[in-house]
Amino acid sequence: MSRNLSSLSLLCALGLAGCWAGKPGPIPVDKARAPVRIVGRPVQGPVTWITVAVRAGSAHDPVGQEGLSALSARMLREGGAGDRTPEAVDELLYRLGTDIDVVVGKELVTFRIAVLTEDLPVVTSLLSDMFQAPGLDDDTLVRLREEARDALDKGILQDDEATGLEVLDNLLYAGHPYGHSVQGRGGVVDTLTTADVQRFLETRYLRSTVVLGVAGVAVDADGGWRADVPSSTDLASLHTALSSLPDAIYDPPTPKRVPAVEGRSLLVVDKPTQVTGVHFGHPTELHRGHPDWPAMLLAFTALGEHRQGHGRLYGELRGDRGLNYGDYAYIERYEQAGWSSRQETGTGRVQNPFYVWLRPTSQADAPFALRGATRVVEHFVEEGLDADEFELMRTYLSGRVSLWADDPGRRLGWAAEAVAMGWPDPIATLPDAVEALTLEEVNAAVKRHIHPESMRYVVVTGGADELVEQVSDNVTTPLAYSGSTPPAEGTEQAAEDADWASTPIGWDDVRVIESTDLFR
Amino acid sequence: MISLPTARRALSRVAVTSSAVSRWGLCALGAGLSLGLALPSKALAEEVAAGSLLPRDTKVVKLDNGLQVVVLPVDTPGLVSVQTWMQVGSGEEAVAGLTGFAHFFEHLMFHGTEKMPGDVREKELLRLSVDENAWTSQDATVYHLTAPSKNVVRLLEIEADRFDALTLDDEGVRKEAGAVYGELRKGQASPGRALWAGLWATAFDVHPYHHTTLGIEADIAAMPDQLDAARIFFRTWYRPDNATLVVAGDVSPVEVMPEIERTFGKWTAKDAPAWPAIPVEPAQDGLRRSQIVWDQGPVNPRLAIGWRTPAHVPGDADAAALALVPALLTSDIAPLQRKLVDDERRARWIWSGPPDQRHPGLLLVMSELTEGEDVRAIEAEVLAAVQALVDDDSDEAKARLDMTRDRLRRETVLGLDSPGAWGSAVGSAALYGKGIDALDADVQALAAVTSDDVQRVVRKYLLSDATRTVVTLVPPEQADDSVAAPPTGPEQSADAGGAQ
Repeated sequence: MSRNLSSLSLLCALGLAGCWAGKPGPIPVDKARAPVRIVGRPVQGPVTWITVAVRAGSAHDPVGQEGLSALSARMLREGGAGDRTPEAVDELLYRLGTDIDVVVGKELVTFRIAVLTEDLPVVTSLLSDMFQAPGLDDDTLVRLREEARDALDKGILQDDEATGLEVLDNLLYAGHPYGHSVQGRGGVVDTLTTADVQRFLETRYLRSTVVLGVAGVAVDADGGWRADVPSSTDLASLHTALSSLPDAIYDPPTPKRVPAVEGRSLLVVDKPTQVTGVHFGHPTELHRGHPDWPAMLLAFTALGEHRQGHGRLYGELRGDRGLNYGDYAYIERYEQAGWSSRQETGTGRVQNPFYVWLRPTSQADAPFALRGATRVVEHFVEEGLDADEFELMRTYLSGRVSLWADDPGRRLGWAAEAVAMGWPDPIATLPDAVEALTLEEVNAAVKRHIHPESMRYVVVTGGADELVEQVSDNVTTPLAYSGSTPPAEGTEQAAEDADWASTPIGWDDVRVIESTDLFR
Repeated sequence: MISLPTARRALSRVAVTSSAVSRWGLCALGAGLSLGLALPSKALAEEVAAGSLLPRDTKVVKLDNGLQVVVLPVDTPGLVSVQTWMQVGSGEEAVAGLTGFAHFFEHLMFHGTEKMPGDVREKELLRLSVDENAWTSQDATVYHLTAPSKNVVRLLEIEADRFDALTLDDEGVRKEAGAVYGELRKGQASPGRALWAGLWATAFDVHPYHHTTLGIEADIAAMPDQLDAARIFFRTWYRPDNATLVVAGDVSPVEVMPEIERTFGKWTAKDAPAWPAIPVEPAQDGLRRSQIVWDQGPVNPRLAIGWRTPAHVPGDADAAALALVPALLTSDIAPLQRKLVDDERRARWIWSGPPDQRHPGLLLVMSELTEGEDVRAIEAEVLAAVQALVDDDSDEAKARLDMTRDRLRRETVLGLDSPGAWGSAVGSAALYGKGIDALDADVQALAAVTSDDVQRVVRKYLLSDATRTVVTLVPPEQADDSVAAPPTGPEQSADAGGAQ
């Protein structure tokens, strides 16, 4: 093993050198020339929600210009629109009591706004100008570039857990369009220019890559405009404006290859911190349109639903042993929406990692937690769910899906994302799909997609050398149970503890990297 | 994915204890809101008048056991939010050794009862497809569940059971203490949290606001042995007359209210030893200043300023004017924001928060500077902007005040978009012990704020050194050797995320 990676191997290890170069195929000319697609949802009340989803996320960054997608999106919101200066746009939105939220994912960029319906004339005018005649103010570009650089150099590192997750993501997708942070790369974002942004907008913001979503009183039951509602003309104008975007042909570079992972490897991030956090997993071919998606969603709801207390990992590590704050497992890169525990809409990918997130433990307990979580996953794949667990999860999930969209804006977000990505709308289709599952289908899907023998681990810790020693395959790391009572001898938990403490991971590769060398 | 912060959205980076919809947000419903508080002879029920933003069929009832109940039928098809707002937060932690206990207790509330042990409860909630969590702040502990509305009756039965008859045992306390220690760990790399903690520790000597909601590490380390304290805490604070239950969503108040009386009506207050009086923070005797030197990795300098302000009193004219000051200081249209962030790029973001605490607290300004920027220079810019709130009589300044009042009204309507948002708005308003009267009082006071009012409160609370605390966080090369560290070090701040 090496104490530090060379700059070249570092780039390779983190997937920061070069991008996946899939060959985009042409799309039909008639599709490129068709008006922008509309997703409409009728909603009563004084508010209208608008979402514009564009297939122009960070996976669409040109090679060598990583970060351009995010920079371009922010320039649309903050760089002025039409004859409005950036300050005039700020003041207008301030007056309206709202803002345009910009969310950049790997595949999509989404622009979202909620407004009083009475304000639609001015808002649709602003949005039309924003996309047709962006201001692209030079001073704003300089500020946004500096912010992106700070995010890469400092922001991610100020959260141990975000650091671990981002490093794992970049590691799993080395040489792939998903292999760099949405913000870009250190050393690259500083070189991006207004001309680069202009070119990106001209070639990626097209009729064929844009979806307009609207929820409000101006939408009829079929998703069209209601002729008897005056604001429908404003929305129709916005649609016309978006449909005047270029009809140039751009086929998004859908990744065609799932990166392979062979064996088990460990990357330890050495960082000034008092605690230790663990992430591990491997890429899969799963996405929300995959036939196995409902089955895998149910299975991982049982293994470790995000920030819920019922998962196996949570129960065994936090519940039974008080090791940390929580332990979760995922079949897609999970982006939490604000303080809520819900998935942010507009962040889906066409390929996704399976991964496990152990929230920070003490450094002393980390090796035990790492081994234990590995055993839980192994057992989960080997044995699958039992019949009672399956029935409970099926009942839970079929009702729970509706809570993913507990306000009209989020409901619209799910629907618009589905259209933009070509997936079924999960809120509309998942409950029935989950109800139709069988235990055998679920357990078979888990075995098909999850391969615990081949996983990459990322550990962020303040004691890298010590951790590397502790997780060596010939070292036993029992749990001290400081503060709580160890299980009595002969109990199932005591036997499990002994197993976890001594289980060799079987490392094929172990490396250490300094945190200050990340994201460059 | 990144959620891209505009200048205004930088607020989310530092908001540590705010609800989804702030109290002032809902308070700013506009002059149209008029709550008809016609109380019957037993003072049990209130009704909402026509013209209120609150749904017309909203029911507000105080049960015989003292529990205040609000049921709001709102247009959220098939969904309901059930929230129990306990009027206890870290601001009540006046007992040595028990800092962080309100938050710790929040965790213990998931351990079940004799009738429904924790694992049984968990499975039952899964069958009901419930999304459950909780959070603790300086002033409240809040338990919130969202679920398909068809399950609301069973949900009420389960919730009422734990508030009346929670099981507390030694092993449960010990294991949960480990989880809380884990929660402390997960924020230890955050300079924002360290700065937040440093500000309150510097500004307060004796009041519990001195420590963060998570508590000091020594007390967290001792939590495994605190079963007896947990039992006392439950009996002292988890009384029905110290709580508000809000049910918001696709429900009929007429149908749900009897079920609430049947379930939550059984919640009884328990005998408990007297809790020590909350110490009153003496008047500040001069400018306070401290500094955190950050050696945990690369960081931009940061600045936090807090001005001592009175406890929020619903309807109070000073409180209403103070609530407008943050937007006038640092919103997207504020001169300071445009100067420091947009034009000169000397700050990454700057944010200000209102003094809406139940006890005398702070009006806040926080900022992340750009690399190498001088914290003293930015501090001077902030103070100049505060002075300008008094000196600037221009039409532009008056227009900003008008725009801000109007913005708050619209923002409120836009924010009430889910059953959880409705529940949070009503629950947070009820924290001040005056029921939904607080809404009406605050709305009227806010609508009446003038430029003179703003100038009056700025002169009264913000211009003197004696009300101000300044805390900076800097990389080692920018350290000022003449400034001490915060009194108890940068403890971790509260996590608004809750128990999972």
